[in-house]
Amino acid sequence: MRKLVVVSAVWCPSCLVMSKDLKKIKEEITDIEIEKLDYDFDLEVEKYNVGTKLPVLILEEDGVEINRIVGEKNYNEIVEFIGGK
Amino acid sequence: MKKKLLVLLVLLSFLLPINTLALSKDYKDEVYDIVDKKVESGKVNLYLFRGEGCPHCRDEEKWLKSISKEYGDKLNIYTYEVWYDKDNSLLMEEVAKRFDTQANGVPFTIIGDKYYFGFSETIQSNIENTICDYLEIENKSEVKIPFLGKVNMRNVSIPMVAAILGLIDGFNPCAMWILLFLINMLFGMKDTKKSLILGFIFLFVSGFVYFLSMLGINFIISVATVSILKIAIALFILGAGIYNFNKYLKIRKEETGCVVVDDKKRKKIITKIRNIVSSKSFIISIVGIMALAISVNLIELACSLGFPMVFNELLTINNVKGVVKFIYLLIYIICYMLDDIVVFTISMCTLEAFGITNKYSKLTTLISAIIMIIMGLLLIFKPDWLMLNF
Repeated sequence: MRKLVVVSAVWCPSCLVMSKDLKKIKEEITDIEIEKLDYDFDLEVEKYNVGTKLPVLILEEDGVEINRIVGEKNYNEIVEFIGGK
Repeated sequence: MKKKLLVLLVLLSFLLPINTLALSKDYKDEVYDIVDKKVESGKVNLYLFRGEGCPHCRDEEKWLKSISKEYGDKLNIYTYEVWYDKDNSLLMEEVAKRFDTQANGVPFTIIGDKYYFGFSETIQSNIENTICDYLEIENKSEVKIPFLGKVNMRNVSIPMVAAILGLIDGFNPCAMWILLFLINMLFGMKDTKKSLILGFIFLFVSGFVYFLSMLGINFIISVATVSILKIAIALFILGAGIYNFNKYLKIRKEETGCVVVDDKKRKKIITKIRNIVSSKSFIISIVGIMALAISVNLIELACSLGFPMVFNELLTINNVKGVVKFIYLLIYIICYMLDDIVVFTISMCTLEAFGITNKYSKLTTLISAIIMIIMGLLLIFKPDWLMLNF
């Protein structure tokens, strides 16, 4: 099972811009779980060792990280990152 | 061929005096005999009676110096100091009598059959219009705009610059994250009316604090008459420009996104916002939000000090004073706050936090850097160029 972990923050405009695309992707692609983590409030963030730039998108397969991208991405870039529709 | 050339030359010789010596029939120098000056054909005489140390006289002289280059030898400027020179003072009285008025103030300007006491933006534009009318040339500072008629570019250019600089400065994302966080906290409030009031208070106080800071900067710049201090300000602006350019070079190839700054400071502000919004007393919430807006904006001012300095230097160099200065500063602030107002309004209307893409932040960093570097260099080497004489 693939999982996309999205580390974002409520104060980050780039994260807000991307949230609409992520919502759309969640509706369109059903075989991937999307988990949103808040940089400031979710303790789980620590284990991902995210750097100093948000948002961070981490792609996991069976609980193991296989890829990650950092920064503001558009719809097509996110779809390509998770391996297409 | 030679004949054609000759005819052309003859025709040109007719045109030449018409163009260069063109002078309105209305021009009549009323005082040349009193001051004992010649009336030269095709030229306009301007007489300025001034007092040594009078600030308005100094402003007018500075302005006349700048426009004398535009009109070249078509404009003869004669100045007379009247506070320390008794002969000149008597001369001024006589000139005033010719217009059936009393010489009770300086600067006193005479062109043709028109005279002006004092010096302000309006008088400046009237003097320039009179010169242009007499010389029968179009006032370059004036442009025709549909519905508005003739508009003096000198008066339009500064508000336009204010709007553009304000907008660019507003895109500086320094304080945006606090607003976004506040919006998210406000969503949690059950009372929409109260949350709207708190949000607008935050925006209003933020704008007001920035306005006061701008006034403070303006005051420092306007009293900085010593040239070393002026150079120091110019160097600061230049330095800020170089810093921003360096920043642009660093972020140019990096991914666009939000940089996590100062974890401790942010967590402190987040806790503060939570306490303010969740307070049971609405008055405490209002006071808290005001205190937050003041403290945050004072800290964040350092983040974009270069731009307010650039704009205030422009105001000082262009001699903008009084109420007009306040209006121009307000235009700057409104444009500066525009992105915040848009983000807040859309978020509250859609009940979903609205963000503006960070993709433009790289571009605005580069634009700000270029503007500050150019301004810094001009302030040091060619401050005259910053007089907005379009």
